[in-house]
Amino acid sequence: MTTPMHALGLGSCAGELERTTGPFGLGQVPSRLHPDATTRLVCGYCSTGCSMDAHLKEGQAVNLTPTRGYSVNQGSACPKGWEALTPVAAPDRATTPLLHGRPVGWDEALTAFVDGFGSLIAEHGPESVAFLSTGQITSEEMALLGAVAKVGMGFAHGDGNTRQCMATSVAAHKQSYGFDSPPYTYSDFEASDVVVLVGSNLAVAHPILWERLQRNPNRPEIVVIDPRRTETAAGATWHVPVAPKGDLALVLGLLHVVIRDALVDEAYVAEHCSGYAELAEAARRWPPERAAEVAGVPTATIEDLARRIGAGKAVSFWWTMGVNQGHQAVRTAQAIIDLALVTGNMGRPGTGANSVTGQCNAMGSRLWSMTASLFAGRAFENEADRAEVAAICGWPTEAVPSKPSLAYDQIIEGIRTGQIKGLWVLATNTAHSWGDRGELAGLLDSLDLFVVQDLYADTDTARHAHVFLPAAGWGEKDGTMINSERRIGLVKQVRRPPGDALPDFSILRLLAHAWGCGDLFEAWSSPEEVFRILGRLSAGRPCDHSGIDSYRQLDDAGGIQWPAPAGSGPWASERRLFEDGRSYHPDGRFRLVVAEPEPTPSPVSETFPLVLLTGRGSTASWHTETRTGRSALLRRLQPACLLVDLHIDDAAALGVGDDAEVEVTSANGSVRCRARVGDVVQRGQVFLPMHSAATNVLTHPVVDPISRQPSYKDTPVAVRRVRPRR
Amino acid sequence: MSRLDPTLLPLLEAELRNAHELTAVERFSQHEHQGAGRYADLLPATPPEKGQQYAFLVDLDACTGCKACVTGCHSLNGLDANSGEVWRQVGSLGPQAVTSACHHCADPACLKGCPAEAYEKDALTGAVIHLDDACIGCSYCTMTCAYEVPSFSDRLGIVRKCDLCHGRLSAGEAPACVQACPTEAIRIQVVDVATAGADWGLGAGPDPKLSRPTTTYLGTRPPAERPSPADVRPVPAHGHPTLAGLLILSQWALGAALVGDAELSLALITAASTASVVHLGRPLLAWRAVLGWRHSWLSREVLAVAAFTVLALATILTGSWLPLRVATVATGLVVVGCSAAVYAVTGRRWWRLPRLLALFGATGAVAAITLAGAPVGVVAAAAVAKVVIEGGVVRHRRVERGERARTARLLLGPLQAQVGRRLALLVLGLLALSTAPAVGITLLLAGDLVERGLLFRAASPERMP
Repeated sequence: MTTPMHALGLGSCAGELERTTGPFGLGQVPSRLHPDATTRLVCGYCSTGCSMDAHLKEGQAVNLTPTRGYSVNQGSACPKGWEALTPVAAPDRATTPLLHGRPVGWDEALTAFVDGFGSLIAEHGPESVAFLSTGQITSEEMALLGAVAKVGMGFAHGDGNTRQCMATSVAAHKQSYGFDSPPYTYSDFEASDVVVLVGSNLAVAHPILWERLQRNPNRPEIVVIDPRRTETAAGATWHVPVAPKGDLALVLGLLHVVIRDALVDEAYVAEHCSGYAELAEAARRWPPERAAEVAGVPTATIEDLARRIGAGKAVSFWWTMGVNQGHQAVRTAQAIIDLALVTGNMGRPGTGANSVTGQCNAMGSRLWSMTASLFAGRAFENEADRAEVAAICGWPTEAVPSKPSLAYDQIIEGIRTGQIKGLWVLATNTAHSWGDRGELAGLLDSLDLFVVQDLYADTDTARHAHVFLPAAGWGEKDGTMINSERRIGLVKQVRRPPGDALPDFSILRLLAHAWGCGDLFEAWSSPEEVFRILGRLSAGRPCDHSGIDSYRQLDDAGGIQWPAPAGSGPWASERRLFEDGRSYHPDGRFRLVVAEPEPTPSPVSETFPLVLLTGRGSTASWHTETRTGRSALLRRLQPACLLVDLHIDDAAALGVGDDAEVEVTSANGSVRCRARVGDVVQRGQVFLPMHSAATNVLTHPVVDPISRQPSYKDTPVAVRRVRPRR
Repeated sequence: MSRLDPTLLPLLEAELRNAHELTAVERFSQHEHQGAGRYADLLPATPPEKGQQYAFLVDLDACTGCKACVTGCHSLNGLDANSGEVWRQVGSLGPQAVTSACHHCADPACLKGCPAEAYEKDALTGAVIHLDDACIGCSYCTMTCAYEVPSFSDRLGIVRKCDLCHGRLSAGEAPACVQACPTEAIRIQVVDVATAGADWGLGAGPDPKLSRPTTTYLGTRPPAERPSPADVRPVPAHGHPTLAGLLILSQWALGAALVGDAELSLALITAASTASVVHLGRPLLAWRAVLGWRHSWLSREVLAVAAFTVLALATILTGSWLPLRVATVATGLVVVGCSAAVYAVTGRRWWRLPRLLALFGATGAVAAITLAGAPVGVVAAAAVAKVVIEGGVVRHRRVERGERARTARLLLGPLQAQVGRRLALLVLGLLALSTAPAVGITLLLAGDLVERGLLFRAASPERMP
């Protein structure tokens, strides 16, 4: 409401908006936000890894602008990046630990953690406890978490929300490339003459990458393979509206035509690939006519697209969740890799089979979280790997776990069966983001001990916590993150965390000490020290970054892509992998992996005749909106209510008008929302954004058998009109 | 609970202390930012000459709808975080994203309407600048601007809007949105003021003839034939209860003056003035409302109300001297005329001048007939005639598109309960009139207040995407 001063006409309103030229070449900035220093740090939302300049006043950030001259974003940012300070500055940040919702001191909370998990392990063994982490915290924190939980405390299980996001690409990369190694650099977007986006709504999910593609000077053919006419498809030159989960058949059809019409780069295949005969045999069974039937596109589309790919000089393939989330997701990703390899589109500018990652530090999680694999892509099962890690870290070899954890879905299943009795969730909102969430809330309440570590105590997940630990957020701590193109970037502390909130790194050190295993991590004294330990752990491996020995060096270089082995620098600002045609398999050859398309285990039926697609809804929304929902500005840029996209014909058949209230029902639950009738989805499909907690009430618990990543893109549903209320 | 390891406490204290030490400035080198140079090719080579001004040029083909312009403007201009204040918005015409801000019109309706002289059109840049400290918070500009650009701040009690970053332009820098757009879809050009707004290239939204916006939209993919943004989801507008009160009370005051009840007339007009002052964001600056009398119908309405008040008071003091009574009535008619013009100039088709004059005049006439104690049948006949003026727009309900069709559908759809209340109060008022005249009159007055709220709520002008 109006302040008395303003009502009196006193107190200048205009002064509040005064702009004057700021220091450091910033140009005009609001006078009241004039910085006395600036520093740059990478953004904490998505894996694009943009750099933002923090405008500092007495060391504390008061404003943000995108960094000009940073190779990734080159002075641009999406709304989330511009607005990244608001959610961490929100008044409802958690400022103190909570025990059953009651504010307590850190000493009491740490004791509750140690006593709780200690007695569960003592009574039921290490198999009874698990942690679920994230792609949102720094690599140093992930490594310390994995080390403290598994090596120090003896947790048998831990997984991350990256399971919902990147597990498929990891599995595909490991088998095809020999290491989890996205081969590209972002300048490849600008160097292709044909760009094929599969299951990627780049314009909404990774706006800055879409904008880099817009800067491609070759007037590229931009092909979007996606059931929906997304914002990306609308801006592309060619939209291929594939049927949901028809992608594997479509790519096999493309491979068929490429092989049949001699568009294969035979020299490249002969020199660098294994498994071509099996691939050719599998593709032979998928002539375009057959592929077209499963993929739901005309035969001619497959013929034309295959020829266009074959004729391209530099063809790049990019995929995200449309591929990663499916019942045959790994094999689909590998079919795309196969297509790039056999057409010789690898290791050259503008080429590659490229997975665009999700979260800001998804790749850090893959390399350092010690969940699915041991540090730096090592295997738990490999004795030599374990010994190496133990030696570098100064741990007894037997302390290093010898088998991988249960995967996310298996941990949830473990809660159901009673095996998992204690769960520790860090920086993720499981109760919103995991599929079939209706049941999950009850499962969380059945735990003997449930600890949540987060910025906010009111997330869907944190509300169930017995012990809540308040964490520092983005910009409140130091560390590194690895973006989609393998660039290690720096986050810095430019804010004080509120109240007694602490960086996850500090919380983990305190927990280790309270547990009595602090001695094992004495050398892990600061994020930068841990970064050097990670460098030593990476030495000699594909992700080698032992050549970077300080944060200052990373900062000055504007981020550095791995590999960056000791003695190999300085490095060019953009580098791609496989320029020599050698994979990371011991024989240096790529593996062409192929599988037969299989029908979805959860098909549409008479009861549930429509297919529910999910995905990002807006450039202003991030995942479960834990952060973006706290910015009034971002909320204004998001749709005002939950809208389900419905095809005009389906809407007519259901008697549903635009903006009508409808109920969407699946075998798992039902939600109410409003219909947005149009032609964005095809007949037989509906779309809901994943940012609404309602969406995962509907999604089914189907996972890919190899990556165990959930299939969020093909849940059978029914839609019915609800009588409008006046 | 087990005992806490005593060595933990020093570590805890150290970690808490560390977490509150900010050292990035000492540890990392400073980067000199590359100034605004990158944006030079998005600005005109030379500043506007006489008869010219700066204007936005939007390339619809390049706009991906990412909304970075909205947030960049917000951060670089230090807008209000708590309310999520925006000076730019991104809408859509089907698949086409459309970014828009203030169009810095050649003939700005906000400026013309402002009663407090809180707007100026900058002579050098052509920017339409809101003078925040001169604003009294009447919100009238939010109604005269067809593009819904000025937005009211509850915190400050004033409106604020885009200023074209004219200070940046004068310093050779690009406006914040131009800097923020990753695809260079927004640039600045110099346009001739005389021809601005003739064809701005959008093919949707409010009629550019209203205020001649200077923005130009370019695009090789013209937006497909789509319903206008206002047709997509017509929703009731704000009811402006204090403005409704001002109108009804001043028109009933005219009615009272007509029947020679100067005391009632003075009471009603005083209540009307009080309502209008109370609704201001900065009521103590209310005196500024007369400053715009040369161009603002709102200022003229305020002056007429003031004159009416003085004349009504003088009538009482002189014991109903006839010339003063006549002058009061004449001034009351001027008030009605000014009130009608205040809303007619906004360009809403449902608020065209003849209709508003008829409606507002009928309000005063019915009030006079009622207050004169005419037979209920006569009052009812007059009231029914007024209801026809109020609701005649429903004859457009079957028209597919357009402003009045939307109004008709709003009245018969989302607003039907309020319409029902209006009619019920009328009927009850008429029934009560013969037995308890005071109750009847109060109910009829209440019915008119509901009617006037509907005048605001059911208006549905063309909108920006």
